[in-house]
Amino acid sequence: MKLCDICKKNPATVQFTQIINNEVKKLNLCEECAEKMGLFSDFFTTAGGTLLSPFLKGLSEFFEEEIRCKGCGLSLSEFQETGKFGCSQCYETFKTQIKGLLKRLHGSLTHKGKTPKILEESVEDRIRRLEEELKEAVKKEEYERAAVLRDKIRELKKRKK
Amino acid sequence: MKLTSFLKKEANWIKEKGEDSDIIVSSRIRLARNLKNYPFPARSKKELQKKIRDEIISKIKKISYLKNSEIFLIEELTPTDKRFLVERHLISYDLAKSKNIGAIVIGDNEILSIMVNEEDHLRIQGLNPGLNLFDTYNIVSVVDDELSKLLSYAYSEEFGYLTSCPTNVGTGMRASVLLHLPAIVKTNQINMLLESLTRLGMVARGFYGEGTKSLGDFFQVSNQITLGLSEREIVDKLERVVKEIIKKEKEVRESYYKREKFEIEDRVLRSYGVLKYAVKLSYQELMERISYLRMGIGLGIKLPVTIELINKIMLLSQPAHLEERLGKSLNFNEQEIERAKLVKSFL
Ligand SMILES: [Zn+2]
Ligand SMILES: [Zn+2]
Repeated sequence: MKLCDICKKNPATVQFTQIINNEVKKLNLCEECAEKMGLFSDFFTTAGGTLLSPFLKGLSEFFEEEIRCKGCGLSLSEFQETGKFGCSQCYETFKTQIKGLLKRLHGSLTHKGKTPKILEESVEDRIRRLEEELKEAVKKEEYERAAVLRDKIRELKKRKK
Repeated sequence: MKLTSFLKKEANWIKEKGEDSDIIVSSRIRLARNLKNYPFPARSKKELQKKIRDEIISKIKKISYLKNSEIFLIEELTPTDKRFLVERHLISYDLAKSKNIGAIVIGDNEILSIMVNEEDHLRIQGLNPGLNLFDTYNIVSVVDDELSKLLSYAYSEEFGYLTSCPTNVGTGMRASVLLHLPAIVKTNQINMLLESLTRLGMVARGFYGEGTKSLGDFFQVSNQITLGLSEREIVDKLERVVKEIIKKEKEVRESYYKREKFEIEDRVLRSYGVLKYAVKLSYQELMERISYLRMGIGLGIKLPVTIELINKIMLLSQPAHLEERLGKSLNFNEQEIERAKLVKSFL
């Protein structure tokens, strides 16, 4: 009789097929271990080792001082652990460190494709929209946001002239 | 259980549509988007996650295409509800597991859906039956355009749409096709196929997407590269690869059938017998049997079932679908009995 691949103790009664790093693997488990794998144990397994892990090693070897993102406080070593960024500013913060990673993942470093519609609107439209937002911010007494909007509108009007 | 209304509806993606419906099940497009001014969900505290969710939902309500959509808050769903949505391919396994303050917005006919606060603030998804990547992309892209006028997206001229995981940055797009490849699997050629996909910048995942296992010889083939290619280029490339895989599956089926005609016919018809007369059925066994039936239909073996009926059985006999339909939770044993009853009623 086949024994469970995890506990190597109980007879294996449940078979899992999973795809890890593009390879089909078969796991034979006992019901107990299958249950332990979580809520969806009969179909789902969390594939061990993400796609990213081989790329993440050695990312921070050359950087002695810990850099932290101003937007979210994430450090490079934290990124290395999870493979996930904390906020959109992280891309700017760790730009020099992640270029190699992006290149290896995608074979490219520059976006080609659609842009948010907001970037395509005319300056006049943008001013009009921001003024609407400003009114709303004042009405809701969000003064900090209002100040930012006021600056933006001023800057856009200057650019128009 | 808030989802019983869904049981009366047919999931759009199980319909039999277009050529090769014995091999192609469905096409999916997913766009990952984030808001500029907030940390990504994993790095936001609960109150902030709630604020982000409220802001996104208030904007989603303004989109005319999503006028009749239903919105569910993740924390108000039971584990069975969440699993039900995963089974319907409307939310990811990750969101179902997650403790984030999230939401799922489901549009008419379940074609369009938006996950809020999964790994990214927004995951806009389109799902259609058959090989239909371009139309699906167009629907998703229109909704994305509308949302981009109402929400400030995290976007950089250099890296495109900024996402929590660098594997999604750029277009933020994952295009995928759910394929049934029994002959390639049963003749042990699947690992070879998966390897060649990697070289093409493509990847195959299990039946329920990322982090899930393969079931009944179904695979989701999708693009790996998201930066440096336009959305159209990604879709185009995937479509070409998928057509190659279909061609290969057909070739392998034909020679396999020529070589082992009686063996295959025996397995296909026995599978029908098991589904029709079994008293207990595990989902794993059901999927193995269904795999033979689908392949049998593809080979022209006479069977009193259609692909659409098989897809329906596949959908409705999943654990959470059984539980929602009966309105109670079932243990493993009860589940197998109820599944066999349901399947029998269709055959
Ligand atoms: Zn065990
Ligand atoms: Zn950050």
